[in-house]
Amino acid sequence: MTIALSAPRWRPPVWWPLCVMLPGLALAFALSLSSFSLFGLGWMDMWRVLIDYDPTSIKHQVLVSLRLPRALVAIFVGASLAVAGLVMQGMTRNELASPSVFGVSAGATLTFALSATGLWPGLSALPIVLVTFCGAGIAGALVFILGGLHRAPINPVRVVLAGVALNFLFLSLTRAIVILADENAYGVFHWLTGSIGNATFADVRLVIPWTLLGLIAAFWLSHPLNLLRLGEERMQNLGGGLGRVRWLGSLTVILLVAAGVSVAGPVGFVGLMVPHICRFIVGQDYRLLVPMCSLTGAVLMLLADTLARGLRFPDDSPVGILTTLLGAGFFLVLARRNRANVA
Amino acid sequence: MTRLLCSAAGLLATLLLFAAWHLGAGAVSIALPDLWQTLIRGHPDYDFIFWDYRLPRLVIASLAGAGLALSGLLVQGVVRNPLASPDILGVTGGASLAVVVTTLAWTGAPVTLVPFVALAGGLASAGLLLWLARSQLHQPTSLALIGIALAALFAAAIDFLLTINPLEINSSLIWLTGSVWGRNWSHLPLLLPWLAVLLPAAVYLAYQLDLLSLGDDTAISLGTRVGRVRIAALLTAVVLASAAVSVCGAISFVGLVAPHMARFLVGGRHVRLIPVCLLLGAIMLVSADLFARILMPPIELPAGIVTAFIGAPYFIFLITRYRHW
Repeated sequence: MTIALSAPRWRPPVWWPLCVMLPGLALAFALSLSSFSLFGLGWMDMWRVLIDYDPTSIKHQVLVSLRLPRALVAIFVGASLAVAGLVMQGMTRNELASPSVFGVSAGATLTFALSATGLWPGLSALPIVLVTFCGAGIAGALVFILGGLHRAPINPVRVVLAGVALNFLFLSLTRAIVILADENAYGVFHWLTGSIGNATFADVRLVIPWTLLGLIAAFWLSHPLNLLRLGEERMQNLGGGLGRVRWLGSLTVILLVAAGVSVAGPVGFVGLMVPHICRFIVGQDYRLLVPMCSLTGAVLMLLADTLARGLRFPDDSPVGILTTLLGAGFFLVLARRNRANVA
Repeated sequence: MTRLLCSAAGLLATLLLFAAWHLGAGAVSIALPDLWQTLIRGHPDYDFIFWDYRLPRLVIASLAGAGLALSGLLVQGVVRNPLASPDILGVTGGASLAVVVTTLAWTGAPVTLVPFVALAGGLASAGLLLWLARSQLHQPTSLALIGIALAALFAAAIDFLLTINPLEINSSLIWLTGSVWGRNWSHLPLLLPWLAVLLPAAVYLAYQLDLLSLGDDTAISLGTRVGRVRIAALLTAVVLASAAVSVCGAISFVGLVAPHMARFLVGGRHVRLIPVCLLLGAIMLVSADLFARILMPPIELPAGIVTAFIGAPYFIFLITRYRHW
């Protein structure tokens, strides 16, 4: 009697989605650079910019000084917001957590509006990332306390309701500030939805260091977040410091949201959608989820911005209206599925 | 009973106080004696401002506020959920979305059509909510959660449509946050008939809703047709909210907060709650509109922003107090 031993089937390594996402990012980047332009930009123009840059050509100028910073900002903002959402979901163990649902983005936007409209001159003198950092921090702390996250058993719905109310409050305040400063209701849209239409290299330089810092911190947190997935008590039994993770995680989230909002405004729901998509693809391991989320967030943001540009071509539309529309539908699906978590 | 009379009298006095302030304050401020004279005999300087500008605005604001508050009371009575209200459940959002879609798709649409469009939108979104939440109706929090998600979706769609097709500033302001700005007598027929018909209906339903609050089994054994009462009350609430939305846009938090304050004042019986709730809603919207106007003259904020200042903290307070998690 022989026992037939089937040879173990070859399986792709766990990091294969990353290998797919990297070329995807390059493709989305190229698409975002070349599509929907009044100057008829094509793939050949991009190639020529690379091999033979001609400063007198209008096409080359458009590509390098308008399109390139915009695409770069999209990449970094998308990565920041997606990873911020991932870390929030991991820390609160609440699948509805994200910067836009909990009002953290709205808090950052409020201080951004206060500073940019000059209604509070002292605030305008400070660097913008510091200002949005404070706003996001205050909003985050409020959600933390009002949602009862500091007490042991967390009710997921309670946190969401507190976050929604705070979101509403900050949004109304931002609206009031913009109307007081502008006397123009239409301008409010562009403030409340998030847009990267006017991104410059100064914005790119502003967002890169904070995003990278935040991403590194998130990567460092991935092991503790894996432990936390087992539950607070188990994590402490296994030697993980719960308090330290919460502090560092909150700081990371606030930093990433502040970086994103400072250059793009509150681009909604990226942080809610992307972690769920990534979990579906790579599973629950945060060591894979952090890089996967940053790549997917960047791709989503690039594609959304490209689409937003084409919506009302040749006029530009804010990218936030597209992500918000998509994300609100996503939120609805999650809210219906949430029944198991509501005890 | 004395408690009801005392609260009603106090609220009526407050409403009159705010009304006088509302009529007097603004770019041209009218002193109280002049106000009285304009009302009784007419005044050459102030007639136009008083009769054609401020009074219609005051009347519209109080009626819309009262309608929203009553709608919130009925919704909370039916779903027995303190966190429910037409705006949180997405009904006002659905009504606004329907109006925005109609005005964009059919530019010459007659203004008399607007309440019906809002009504259709409100009913459709209420139906959608009940269908989406059909297996979780007994859980107050998940109903609220699905409603919030639905409201977010409608708000996103309105933002989307307004960005793609820019309307004039006035209408975008109204559909974004809710405002009483520039409302005049021509808007009154869009609001008053609905209130006149539905207020008696609400009073009739009040006793049945009291029975309903004892629990379904008790209510049935006392002879209530539970299903029919629920549907009638929900329909009344949706129609009231949609009528208010068709005139003022999606004003938030009045329908949530006013019933809670009313319960705090006169207890849980609906027959008593209705008059108090109407007065409170009117006071909230009139005072919100007043502060929206006088906070930073000559700039006017939408009244919906001011109601959110009051309502959102109160909502958070309710969440932290709510014990049945």
